[in-house]
Amino acid sequence: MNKSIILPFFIILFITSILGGAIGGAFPFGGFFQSPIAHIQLPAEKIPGLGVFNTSLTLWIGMIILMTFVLLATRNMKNVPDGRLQNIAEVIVEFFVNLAQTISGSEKGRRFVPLVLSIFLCVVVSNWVGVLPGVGTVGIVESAEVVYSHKEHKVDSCHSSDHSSDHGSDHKDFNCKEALKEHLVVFESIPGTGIKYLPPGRGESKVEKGGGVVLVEDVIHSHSKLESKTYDQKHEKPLSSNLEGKYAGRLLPLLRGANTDLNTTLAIAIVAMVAVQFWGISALGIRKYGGKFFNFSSPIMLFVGLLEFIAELARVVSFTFRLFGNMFAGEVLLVAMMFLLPFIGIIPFMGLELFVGVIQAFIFSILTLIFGITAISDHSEH
Amino acid sequence: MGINLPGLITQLISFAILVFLLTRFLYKPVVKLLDERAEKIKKGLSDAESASKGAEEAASKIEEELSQARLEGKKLIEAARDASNRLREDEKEKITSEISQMMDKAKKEINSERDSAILELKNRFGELVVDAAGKVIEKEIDEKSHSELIKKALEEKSL
Repeated sequence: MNKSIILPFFIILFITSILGGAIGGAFPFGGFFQSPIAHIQLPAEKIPGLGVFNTSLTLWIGMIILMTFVLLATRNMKNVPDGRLQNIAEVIVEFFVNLAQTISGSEKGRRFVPLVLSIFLCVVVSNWVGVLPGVGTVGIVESAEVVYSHKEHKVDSCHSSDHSSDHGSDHKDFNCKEALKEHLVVFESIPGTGIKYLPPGRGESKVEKGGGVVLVEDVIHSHSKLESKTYDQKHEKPLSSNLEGKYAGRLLPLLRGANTDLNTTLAIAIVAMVAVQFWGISALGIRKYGGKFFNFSSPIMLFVGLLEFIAELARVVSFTFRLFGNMFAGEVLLVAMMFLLPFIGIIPFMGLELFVGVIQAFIFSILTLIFGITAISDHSEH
Repeated sequence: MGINLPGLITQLISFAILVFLLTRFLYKPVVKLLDERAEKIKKGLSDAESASKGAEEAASKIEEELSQARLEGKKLIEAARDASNRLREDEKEKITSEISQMMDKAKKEINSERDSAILELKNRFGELVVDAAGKVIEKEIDEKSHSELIKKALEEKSL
């Protein structure tokens, strides 16, 4: 492609993405590439049939990728390296060894390196895997019945009232409808394959005013296939005929960034803080290290010890939520940009997410290192 | 918020396995290699330092020897030149003296030749004179006047 084509190409792409996205959707002619704003949920989804969470799956994929690189890099190590992978491995390890030795000021800083290095690599790789295309967007379409059965409890409590009163008229029914509201979107399916996909366009916003929101109850009656007649009976708003025979459901992504799940970040935080305690005890002895938290010499010291203890717990929490918050926000940002500006909106933010992924991994590992160094330093001489 | 025990335990075990694997397959071999290399580099540097020191010493030694050799060579050349000069002088002297000897010898021979020639001439001159005088006066002179004449003639001649 020569230069004279590139610029017009991108200008056209830009205009198309603005018009086709959610911004263009405000106008009657736009929104042809608009996708429904994705269902954003905090807890990780369990993949039916496998029984594992999609974030665990992503973590394992990241681990496999990482270990493949590591094994390739360290398989045939030479004193004069000829492969680039070995150089990369050396640079990373040496960086952390030097960092640990510089910050702790001695050779004993080396004991922190295995964990600090592992945290960095684990977090950075799982963050980057989370940015890959397909992660969070490819998955199983949960049918409306399944979504419904998850919500069965709430629905059951509402059903009786739903029958007794007319829809939408009384306050309780309204609440029930709110509870039943789910982020179901309408999928098209490729005939004969069972593969479902989200068609571009503004179809969803015509189902309900909520923008891609379908009432679970409504779809249940139709066995997750949207049929206009059921709508016609139940609602005064007729369903547009082009949705007939399509699937209503929810996308359950097979892969989801490992650190967008609190379980992952909490697990790493727990390992890190347990290791910090272990380092402290092994360096100072259990009596001396425990004395930091349980000091009965005076009420003030008792209070200080209590504060130290709380601070330690707070570190676990801050570790957990810092990483989770950053990565989850990044995922939401990418989804939102995909919604607002299809095609191009996501590009700069993907770069940003790669950067944030490294920075967060670095922060996590460096804080672990610093906490570890603080734990092994003896404060009793003051 | 999504924190649940199965998920947490799964992730804990996964992460623990990853830490173990990374320590075993990344940290340990690479650190071992780095330490070995650092050791090797240190050794290499000290070796190089000692080698360069040795080379420096050797170079200065060679320089010293070279200058000594140069000096010696100079001396030798000087000596050789002296010797050759002396030899030439000697030869010259020898030749000169030989020449002078030869010249002396030649002079002596010449002198002796001349003396003998003069002697012979003396001896034969009288006879020639007598013969010549007899022819001139055309008469026989007795023995007595003959010898007197010779004597007279010789005396005149030897003047």
